[in-house]
Amino acid sequence: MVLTMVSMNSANLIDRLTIAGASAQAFDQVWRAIWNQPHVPAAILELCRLNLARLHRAEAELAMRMPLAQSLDEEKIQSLLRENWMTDPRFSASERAVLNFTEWYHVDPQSIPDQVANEVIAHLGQSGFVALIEALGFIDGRIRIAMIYSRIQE
Amino acid sequence: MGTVARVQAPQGNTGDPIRDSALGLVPETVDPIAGLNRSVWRSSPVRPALLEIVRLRNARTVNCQFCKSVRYDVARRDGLTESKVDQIRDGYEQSALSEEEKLAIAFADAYLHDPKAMTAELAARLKRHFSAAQLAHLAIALIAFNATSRCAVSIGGMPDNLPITEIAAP
Repeated sequence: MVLTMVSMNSANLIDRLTIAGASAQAFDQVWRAIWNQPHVPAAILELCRLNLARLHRAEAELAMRMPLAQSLDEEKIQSLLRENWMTDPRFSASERAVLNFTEWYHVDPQSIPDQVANEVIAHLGQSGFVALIEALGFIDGRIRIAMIYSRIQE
Repeated sequence: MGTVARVQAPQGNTGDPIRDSALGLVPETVDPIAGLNRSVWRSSPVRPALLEIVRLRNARTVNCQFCKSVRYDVARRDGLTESKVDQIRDGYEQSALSEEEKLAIAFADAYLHDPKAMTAELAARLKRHFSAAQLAHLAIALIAFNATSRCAVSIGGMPDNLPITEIAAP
């Protein structure tokens, strides 16, 4: 079978999921809540989303930008995508702690060292830590399903 | 995995496992997440036993002890026996599970391991077997199961083993 790739990402995915009705509405409410909660700035979550997209090699995801994180500098994003976030002075200590955590999370949440988690808690507090892991789960999940739907929906 | 929880759950006792967990530390998201969990079980075009198979496949892969120990009452009433649960493991392709159940596990595995590697053949089988609404619901359920179980693992403090416990669907 010859496949025609349909480029789906975490933004346009919802168009394909609305057919699920009530669960799609509830899912969209979670998406809005994680991006608007006050504990982790949307710009930091956008860095996480793009880092996860890079780790998944999800081109359609990498090509989009979340409107809620418009303040994020495009040069900083490109530095992130070149994996320079550890040394680039444009990244704050808080952003580095979160991006480091995100990479461990991507590999396997069981493998996250206490020190890596504690650095996030030191910067974001306990509520911020929980808000971050909730957001990572739903952002990563949406990227994964968008990639799957790119194959299902041709 | 740490043996001590990295954050302390609020002291609530609402009887809702999501609200009473550490997720309760973020009031702005806990209600939407609890609402999603409710919709996944109450508004499903997919039978509960099939949803539970997908949830348990995720729990096994993520190694969330809490998630592995739970059985939803509606899934048991729908015919999900422990003998069937035992077959949600490596080599499930050769088990006595139905074709629909094996296909749901394959869908979960594509999500859990390498979404980019999902084959055209699996995509075609999924489209043949499930309606668009069923597939969308399975996708949403899988994200919800996976995100919450990875939250539990990331928070840490999970026991090595827990007894199997039946709980009521929300």
